[in-house]
Amino acid sequence: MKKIMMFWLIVCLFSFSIETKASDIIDPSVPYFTYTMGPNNQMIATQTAYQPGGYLTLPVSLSRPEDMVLFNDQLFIIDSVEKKVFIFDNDLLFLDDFSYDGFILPKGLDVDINYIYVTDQGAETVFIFDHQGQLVREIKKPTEPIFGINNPFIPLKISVGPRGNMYVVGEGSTSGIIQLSSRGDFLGYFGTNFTGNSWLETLSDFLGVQYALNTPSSATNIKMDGEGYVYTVSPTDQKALKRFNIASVDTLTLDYVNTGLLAVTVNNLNNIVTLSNEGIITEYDSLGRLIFTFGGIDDSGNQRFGLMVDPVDIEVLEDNRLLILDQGLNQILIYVPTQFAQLIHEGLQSFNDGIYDLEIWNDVLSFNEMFSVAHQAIGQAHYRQFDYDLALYHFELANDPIGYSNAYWQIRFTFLQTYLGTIILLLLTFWVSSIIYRKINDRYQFSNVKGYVSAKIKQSKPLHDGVLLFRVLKHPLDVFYQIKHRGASSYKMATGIYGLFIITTVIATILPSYLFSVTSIQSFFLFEHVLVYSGVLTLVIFSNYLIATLNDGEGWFKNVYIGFAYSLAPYILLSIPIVISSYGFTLFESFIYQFLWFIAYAWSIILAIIMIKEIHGYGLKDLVKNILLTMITVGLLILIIFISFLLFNQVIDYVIGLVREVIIRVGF
Amino acid sequence: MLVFKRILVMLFVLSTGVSFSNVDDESILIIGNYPVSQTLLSSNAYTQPETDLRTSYNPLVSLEESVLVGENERLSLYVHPEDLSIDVYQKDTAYLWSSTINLDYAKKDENDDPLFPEQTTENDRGLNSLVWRNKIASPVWISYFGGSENNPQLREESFFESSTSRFDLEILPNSISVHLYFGISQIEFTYEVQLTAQGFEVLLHQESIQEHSNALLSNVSIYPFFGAAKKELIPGYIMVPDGVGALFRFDAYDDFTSPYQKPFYGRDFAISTFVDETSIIADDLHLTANTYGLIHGIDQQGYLNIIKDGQAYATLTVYPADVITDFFFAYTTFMYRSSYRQPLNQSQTNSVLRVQKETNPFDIHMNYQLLSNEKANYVGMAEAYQGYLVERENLSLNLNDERPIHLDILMQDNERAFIGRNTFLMTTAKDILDMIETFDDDTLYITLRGTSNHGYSGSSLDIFPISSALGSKEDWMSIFSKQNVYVYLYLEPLKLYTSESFHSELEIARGRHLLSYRFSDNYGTYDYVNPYNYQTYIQSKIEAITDFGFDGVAFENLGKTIYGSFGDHPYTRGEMLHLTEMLVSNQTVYQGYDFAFGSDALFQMPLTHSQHAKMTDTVPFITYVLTGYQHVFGSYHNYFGNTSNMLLKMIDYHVFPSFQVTQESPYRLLNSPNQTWFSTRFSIWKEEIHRQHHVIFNVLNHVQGETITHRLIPEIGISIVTYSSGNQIIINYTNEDYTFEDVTVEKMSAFFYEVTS
Repeated sequence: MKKIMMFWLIVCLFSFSIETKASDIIDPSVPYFTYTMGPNNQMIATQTAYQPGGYLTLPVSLSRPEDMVLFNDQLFIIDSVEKKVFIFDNDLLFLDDFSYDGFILPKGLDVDINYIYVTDQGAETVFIFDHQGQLVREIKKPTEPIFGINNPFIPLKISVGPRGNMYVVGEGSTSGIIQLSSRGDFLGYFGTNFTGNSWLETLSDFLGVQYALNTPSSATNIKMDGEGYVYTVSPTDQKALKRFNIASVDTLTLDYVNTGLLAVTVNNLNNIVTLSNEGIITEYDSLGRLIFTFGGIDDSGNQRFGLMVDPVDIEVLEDNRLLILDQGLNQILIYVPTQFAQLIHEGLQSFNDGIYDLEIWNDVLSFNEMFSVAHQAIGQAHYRQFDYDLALYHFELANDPIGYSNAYWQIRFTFLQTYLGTIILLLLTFWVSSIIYRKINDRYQFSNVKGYVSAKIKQSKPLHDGVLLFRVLKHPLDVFYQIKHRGASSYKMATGIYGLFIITTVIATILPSYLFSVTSIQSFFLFEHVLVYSGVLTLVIFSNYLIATLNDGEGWFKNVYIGFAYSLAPYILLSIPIVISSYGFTLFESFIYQFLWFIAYAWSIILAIIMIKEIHGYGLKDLVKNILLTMITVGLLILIIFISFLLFNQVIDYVIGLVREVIIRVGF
Repeated sequence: MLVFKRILVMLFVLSTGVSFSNVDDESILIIGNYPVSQTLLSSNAYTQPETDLRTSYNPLVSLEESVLVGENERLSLYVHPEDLSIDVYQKDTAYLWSSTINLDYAKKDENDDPLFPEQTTENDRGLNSLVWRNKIASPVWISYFGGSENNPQLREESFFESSTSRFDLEILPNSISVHLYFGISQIEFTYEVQLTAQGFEVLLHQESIQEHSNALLSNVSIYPFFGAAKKELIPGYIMVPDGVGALFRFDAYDDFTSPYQKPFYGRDFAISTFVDETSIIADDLHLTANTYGLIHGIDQQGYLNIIKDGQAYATLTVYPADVITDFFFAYTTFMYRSSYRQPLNQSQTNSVLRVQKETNPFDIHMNYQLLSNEKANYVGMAEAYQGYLVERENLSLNLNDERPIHLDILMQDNERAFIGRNTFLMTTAKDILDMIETFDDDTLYITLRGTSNHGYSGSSLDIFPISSALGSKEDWMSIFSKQNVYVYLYLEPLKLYTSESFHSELEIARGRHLLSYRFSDNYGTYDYVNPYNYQTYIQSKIEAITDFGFDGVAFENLGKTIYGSFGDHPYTRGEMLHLTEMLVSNQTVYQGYDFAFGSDALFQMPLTHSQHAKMTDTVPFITYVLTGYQHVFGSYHNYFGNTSNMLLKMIDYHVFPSFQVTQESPYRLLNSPNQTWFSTRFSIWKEEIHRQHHVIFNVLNHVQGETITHRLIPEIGISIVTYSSGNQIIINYTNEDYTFEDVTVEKMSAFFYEVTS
């Protein structure tokens, strides 16, 4: 016993992490790091994707530039303090500007072939001008009933579609983006943000407690691409970046998103580029996969070259250079894609054209062997070429379960096509052989393995107790009766079963196939895992016995301890076969996999309930009461332990502080 | 039991085995030509052409009422007996330097016309602030701590601020001795100014400092206004050794609201507040050398100020014009005492402000070297500083025709296993031998990381004995027998990550002497350790390493991080500086500062500066100091965003190439703590390494062993570097061809131009 405990203690001790350091690799020419998505959904450093390309100091003095639009090789900037629209050519030479008496606080801007659109937050109006700066139309709050009398119309930003339909981001417009026709008629709300209840709010609703209404936040910026998709950024924690199709459905699934997004734009590859209020620029491909994230704010006052001060908007040129409008610097920062970024853009371009260019993506991997998007693209290329084994390999490296599942389906299909007949034949042969063997043995009695085994089990208590683990599956009442009245099993056996349970939880956590894996070995903390499971078991057993003692339960602690162990039998016995079966499933069969686990868990829970009833001799009412009180007790104990831990830390902190202050004040 | 555990571990580890040959070995990197935009070439990331070539003349200074102290062939030193200002007359350029100016330069008469029209311009602010008039008039500025012990207040005092201040001036042959008594703080001390062959020196001995009240001296700046240049009047710049070197030109002074201010060699953790490094932004670079310079008139005159003593406690301040005054000026502040926060509880939410009891132990010794004519530029400054280092015996001439390349090789690392950790191989000794075979006459500087049983991410000090898994003794001896191959073991002696287990006596000893300087970076929380307590251990380790056959160690951090300690085993920053100088001798260093320039080689030297907006140019000051004397290697080529441009920079700055390599795929490191080696496989990089090496030495080969005498930027994106033989290298960063003399230098290329006598 001692040796076993010592062994597990050593196991736990060695589970502590021993990790130290590595030096940062910095591209010496830039003051920020660049990251991309690596395997296992980790952010990893990579070569600089965009280098600072200098500043474009505007030839006119801007006070508070708010928005910037590139159209037909011209740059338009709106200034809310100057109350003007400034127009520059593509060399940033000043061309023209115009103002309008009606401007109060112009914030947003868009341009199409016919008009220049300005949203004015102060005037609560959308102004439409021709390219000579003459006012064409003013659009005030829609009067259509479906707009809503109480809904505000305070336009902040605007994006105009190909037919002149306007998408307006309004301040406080929680119903969504305001969609207007080219004439200013209200067409409806578009692209509403998600809202949901927290668990507390859900519980409150269930109990009929009134909470404040949970309204969705309104978007803060908007952009439309050439294909009619509308991109919005919002100050939400979830899904801050969205891409809506014409049906107002968000079609973007992101693996990573920054918070505090200020602006969004789209380049000629349909890559999405966002800018956050921390100066972080993030580029995604058209499928929402993170390609690069970089940048930052310099709040030291030193204005380091390549860092922003107060960014407000982002645009992208045809050659994929990025322009950042910085209010703090009163300049436009340019970021130029490096050779490395150009290579990736080339690969994505080919990808969009349906060409799966292995060479380009292998070159990308030469730069960074952990580049997830490259592995994914290579995986898809191999899939197209029917190299499913290689596709499978790369999809795993890219952490793409869908691609992996598809490739695995193909491999499995080929395998079954080739070998299924043989397998069935072998199974049939085995079955027929076993029947024949049984028939012959029944007649001639040359072997009595069954009798021999039964005799051995009867003679050996450990074996007998071990067999109960199987018996409890079909005859739980019988087994629990034996435990309660016949002294079946023992503390040692029960402890061994608990140990087996923990081992199977470990196996179930780290050993399922890639598609169903919960975590990898490298992310698995054995000590914590053992601590959690053994802690929960301990709490449940003790709580149950405690409650039973207070509620006239008949069971002794030994009975409860042993009974709980045997109720875990379904989980213990089914885990390993389920884990093995995971190697045969694809995502299409994930429901089967989930269902098998459901059976294992449910069966164990049912056995536990039966055990409590039988061991303590409860009726239905007492049983339910015992279970509820046990759960509450477990919760309370966890809370007490947690609070005790916190208080203990505070006491230590207090004593140390007291001693230090005495030393300092008295001056030892 | 042990066997059982091993089997268990093996089973689980095997169950996660993945092949990591995920990149086709035949892949060839595409590293093509990729021009840099004109906008970028015009930024402070590059050196700009000299456009203001006016003859410098400073009408704000004069010798009126100054007394001659002494003179030599080049210089005359004067002192003003009333205000203690000094003037230095540079005979070869007929130029007068002064530590003060005409304070009324901007004054106007009753007709609103300037009283001194040749001294003032339309946009001048003038000196209306009494505080600044007193400051500029004073030879010395001090700060001191007043207030109560538990609530110290930092105050400034310039010498002439109080009428009760008094001084004693003694004029000696070729020097002056000045005793100052500050009237408000009642602090007194004596400083000296001595004329030398190249310039003059300023000295202040600590024992002369006396404090007669509860005011405690904090810092001292002597002649801070020496060489101040008025905007629009004097062309030139200030050079600071920020990173590789930066210029503050006198024509760039719009919109700055604060000065540039940095301590030499970075902050002292003993007194600075904690700063976490968990950030997406790279840290500012530090001042890499104990010097700075100032030029009045391009290729006309200037000075280089070398802080010979007290540099560990010195802070450099550069004021662009229009921050406070109309002047550009730079000065050094010497810190005798600082305040620091003493936390009172573990969570550090409660603390008191304390002041150092004792002053930092140092004397002030500044050496001003005046530069003339073709030496009056940053290249001349580099030459002057080089001379100082040679005299200090930090540098010795290294005239050879080596073609050095640095390979930083990862041998082993570890990752979490099911139980404990699993150490895996990335490169073996045999692999290194194969790598070496691919190089012909090149000189290889090889650094090995992760040589212990725990790998690179294991203990930072346990680098020797070498793990037997890496190779046999014969394999290592084969490496050591190679000509022109120098092998060093990577050693990080200062940082101790809190998650690092103490699994040796040394680690426990280190743990006992941890300092209270806890920081975080992207890899975890770490402490800095007291190096004195295991200095003997390090030295004995180095001895064992060299006995084995290695050439020594490659220190990380030790060459660039110095700090003091107020704890149980106190020591000063200055002491650590000298300890570092001693330890790095005959070793190699990563990112070393001037006190580490005496090592065998310097790796990972920065090729840029902190890129503040106040800086106008990047200049290769540090690398030119070391050219011909020291092997300087740049950043790893594996991670360049724009390779072709960086290769040109390396030729321009005379810096040698450096690569990270492994035999195995870096994908293998995915689950290790070290994920920044993401492109290192030698089979993929081999050809590119040779190609880049060839690109650099195709040009630099012609000038190996020479020093640099001049650098000209005739236009944006073109650099012409002249070596001591007179030969030149022309670097064209632009996207257009450039014609120089009778040759055409192609776009994005470098050309060796032999000057026939």
